[in-house]
Amino acid sequence: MDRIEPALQAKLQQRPQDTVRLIVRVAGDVTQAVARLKELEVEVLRSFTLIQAVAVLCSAATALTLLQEPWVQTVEEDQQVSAQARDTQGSR
Amino acid sequence: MTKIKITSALAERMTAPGAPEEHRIIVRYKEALAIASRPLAGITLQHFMLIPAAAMRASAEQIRELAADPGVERIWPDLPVHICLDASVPHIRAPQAWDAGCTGRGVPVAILDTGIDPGHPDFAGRMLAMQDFTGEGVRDNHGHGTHVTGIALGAGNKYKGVAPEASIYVAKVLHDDGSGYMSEVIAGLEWAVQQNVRVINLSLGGLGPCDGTDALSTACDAAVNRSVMVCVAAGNYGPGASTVGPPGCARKPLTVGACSNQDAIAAFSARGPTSDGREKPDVLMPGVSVVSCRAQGTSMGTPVDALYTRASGTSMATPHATGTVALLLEGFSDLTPAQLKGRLKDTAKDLGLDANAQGKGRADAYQAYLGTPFTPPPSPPPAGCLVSILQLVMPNR
Repeated sequence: MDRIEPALQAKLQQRPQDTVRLIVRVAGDVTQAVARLKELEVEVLRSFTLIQAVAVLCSAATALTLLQEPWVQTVEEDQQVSAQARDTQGSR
Repeated sequence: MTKIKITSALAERMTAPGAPEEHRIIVRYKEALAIASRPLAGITLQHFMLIPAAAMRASAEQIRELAADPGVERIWPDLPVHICLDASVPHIRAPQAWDAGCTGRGVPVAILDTGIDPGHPDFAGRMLAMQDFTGEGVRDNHGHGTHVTGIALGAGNKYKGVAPEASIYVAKVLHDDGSGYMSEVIAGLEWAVQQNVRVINLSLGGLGPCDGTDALSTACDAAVNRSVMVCVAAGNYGPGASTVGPPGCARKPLTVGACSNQDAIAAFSARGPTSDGREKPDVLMPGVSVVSCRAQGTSMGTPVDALYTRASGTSMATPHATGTVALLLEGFSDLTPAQLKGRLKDTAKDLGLDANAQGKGRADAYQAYLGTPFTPPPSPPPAGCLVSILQLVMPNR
């Protein structure tokens, strides 16, 4: 797997001012990665233990700079998922 | 000849692991013979008037003796009757697994979804932990999570789910509009693993195609590596090829597509292969017009009454598999996730469809319990529900 999908990279480059939700997979200590992300003005939403990764919120331009960091393994979109029932509009 | 008289359902019970010494059976005699005048091998409980038959308790040896009697026409197992969750739970023969002693009692199962209606009576006394990852609170204001939980774990008098005595853990990872982010689902997965659950249900997904290397799919694989079985929906983006989306394309979980109660694949059920060429889904389960629990005040699906609603989707198919896994884990607690996945696949009913539509076929709870390849249902079908008694008394119906 590439460090970033070409389609995501192009999207980030086209709209660098947009705020994006990403999942960043890291090599090494996640705690150190979180500290470094904060230095880079990246908002860390969650850090994980099942996989070595963090969920973050930042500008597209900042996301592109993450690719320069040697401990960043991959940057991917924090994709939306949804309930898999048909024609269901939940409501109260 | 004697084997033909013993229904295959009874024969399976006589040879199943841990089979009891005595079996409750119903013996049908040839019309012309007076039952009362014949020597009966077992302990007779009741003679019937509507049909020339008697209910009795007998050992396997006595059953074989009865089968050798030329006056005996047929020997059925005398099954307990249940009111079942619509038609889908008897269709996968979960009641037969209950009758064999597996109801999922105490098996910890996590449902990661839109939350739950904690006041629904079908979950009373079994909800051990709830956690919200959306910021909205764990209450289900959508209806999807409560419906899914009911299919896997509901214990209603009116509708009963697949594993009605399992323990319930709920993580709300989808918002009240039915959607969420992968990162919220991964957080829910981690929580469920920390709770030491044995099975996790994910009736959710994103758009395909995918190759199983995305964060959510790899987190599902990691949960399986921690000895937790994960059942995931294939998605509702079928019938085109390569429409299975994440986490349905993950390598280690069981990916579940949907079929009807007549074993016809649902058009919406997503198809494989994954973008790296693997066959998906793994199995099908019923996911069309399934009646299950309705969260109070919600309108998801087609409401049946205040407590139940009807809905379709691979979301509904997946908890049939999750409940089945809970049944298996009660009976065979040492099974690993890989063995559980293999067992559901290897015992599935082959529907004769493409492997990227049906996987190995429609999974069957009782066949998975027996651990042997699927055999056609006996006649009359041992549905374990009231309908089987009707078919016994009125075979031409």
